[in-house]
Amino acid sequence: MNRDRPVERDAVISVDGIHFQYDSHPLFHDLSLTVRESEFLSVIGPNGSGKSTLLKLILGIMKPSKGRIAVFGKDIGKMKRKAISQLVSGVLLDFNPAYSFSVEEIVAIGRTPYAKAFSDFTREDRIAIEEALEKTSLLTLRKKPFEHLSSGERQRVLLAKCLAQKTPILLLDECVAHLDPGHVQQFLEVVRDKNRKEKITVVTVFHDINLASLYSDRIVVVDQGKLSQTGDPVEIVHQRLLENVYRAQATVLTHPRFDVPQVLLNRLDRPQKPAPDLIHNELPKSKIL
Amino acid sequence: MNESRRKRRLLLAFIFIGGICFFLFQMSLGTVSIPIDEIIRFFTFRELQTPIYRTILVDIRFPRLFAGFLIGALLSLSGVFFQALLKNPLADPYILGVSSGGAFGTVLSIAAFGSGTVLSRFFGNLPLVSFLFSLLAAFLTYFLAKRGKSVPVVDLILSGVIMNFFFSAATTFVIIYGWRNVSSATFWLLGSLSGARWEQVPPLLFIAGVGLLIGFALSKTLNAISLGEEEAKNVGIEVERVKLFLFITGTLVAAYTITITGIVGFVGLIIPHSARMLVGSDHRKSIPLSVFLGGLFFTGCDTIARSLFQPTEMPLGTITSLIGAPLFAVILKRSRRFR
Repeated sequence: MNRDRPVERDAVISVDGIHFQYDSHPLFHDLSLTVRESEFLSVIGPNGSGKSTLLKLILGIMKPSKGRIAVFGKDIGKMKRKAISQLVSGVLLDFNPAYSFSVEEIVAIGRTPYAKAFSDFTREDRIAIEEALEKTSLLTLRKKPFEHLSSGERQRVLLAKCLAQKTPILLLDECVAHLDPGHVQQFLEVVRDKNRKEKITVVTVFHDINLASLYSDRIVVVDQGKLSQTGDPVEIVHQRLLENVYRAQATVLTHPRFDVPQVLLNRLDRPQKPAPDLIHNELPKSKIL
Repeated sequence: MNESRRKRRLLLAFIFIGGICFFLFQMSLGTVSIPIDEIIRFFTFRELQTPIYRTILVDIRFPRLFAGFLIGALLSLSGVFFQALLKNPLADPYILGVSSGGAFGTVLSIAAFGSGTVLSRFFGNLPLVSFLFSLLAAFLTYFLAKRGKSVPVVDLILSGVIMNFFFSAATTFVIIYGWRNVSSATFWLLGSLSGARWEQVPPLLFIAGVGLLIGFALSKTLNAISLGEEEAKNVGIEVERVKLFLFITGTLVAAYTITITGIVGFVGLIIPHSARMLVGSDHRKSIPLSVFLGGLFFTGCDTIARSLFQPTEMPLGTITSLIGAPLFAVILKRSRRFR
């Protein structure tokens, strides 16, 4: 479809020149993005830049007004919702069930794409549910009502639901935004493990640039309705990104043990000391799209 | 874990056996009270000591009990559908204007009946007119709420409120303007099973059977939809299509029951909710229990309505509301913590 960019061979998701607006407020203008097989891709960008919307478009929950989104080469605009849901699953914000469900019941809903009318859960369904609960350390909580769980546990339940859905692509929308460091680490390690061992492609929206930098293979920056930059964390996360995209003053250091950039905010009301040794030097080769 | 499962099984067995006993017990109550041993004799094909009881049982009690059970079951099922459709555990089948539309149709029919005009031919057919106006109100609600290809839940509830107000006002207008048979209209507006006949049972049984099949077929879909529309799409549900289907079946069922009993509130609202509190929210378990409890609650209320206030009969809707409203209040208070 798009003449300017060659279609990459191993693309599992290709977003091709999409336009999208809320009511009449334009959000995306000719946005394109390619996600490669089994990569861990992070989407970052300021509030209101449309990161969550991008995920919902890929999930087929919303539809672009122009352009095309393909998953494994197939246009999702022409696919049945059931078929899409066997390829892509997502942990979304604002999960608010109408009734009180147990952990197990919610995870079981992840098997809906494979359900046939009148039939009970199959052996395959049960195995998938069991594996998902185990992977997310929820076996002991399985009978608990969802609303009695802590936010860390709730996020794990939503992840387990997606794991039970057995999709080759997993989309995560700010899943760890309100969690404490322990739960953040536990959650992301599970995702990273799935990504490594089972070659599941992960696209996640991050508010926290440090987490994006620490966990991703690649980062894309969404700003003002477009993808402004893409590259690996070392290329993307630097002082100029914070100044230009987020309008924030920060010191960017290199993580002393993992060699990825990490951001520390500056206080603006105090005199600054000179830059320390670990300062992350901006790479001139950073790609500007 | 196994302990709680056993407890739940025990509870279900208790509800089931208790329900059947309760159902049989209700056969003995009424204007004439029939001793239990006569009822047992009837069911074991033995000669009754008082033969007239056979006629009372077969011609009066049975149709009323069976029709009542089926209508209660259907209202409850319709409540399950509307609660899933509106993603609101406290929605009922009447929330979208079905009842007030039906009421208007009925009052119109009563007012026009025997007026000698050509129109009275058509408007004299009370069940048909009430059914058509129920559907009219519900579809007006639906189209008022429709925005492009989707029907937002909040708009649906709001336009239901508008329709209810409009048709209630129109009903009052016709009652005052036409001022004939107002008392029969009032009785109908408050609901009653006194019009139950044998010939109503087979169609009810058929509709209940089809409804239950739909309920079973949709159980997993309803579970997914209860998580929210985006979540349901996320697991492959064609949400708008399912919503339309639930709307149509729920409305047809509610409108049909209204033609037989008039407006009987609260059954479709509290019974599915109670069932969920007993067995959890998984529709595969809560639908069968809702249907069973709905039938029991409906006949139970009717038995109270027809046997406690002799020589007259209390309107059924009064009893269900008098029992239902306090129950609803309790449920509302309890459900706050889920929000």
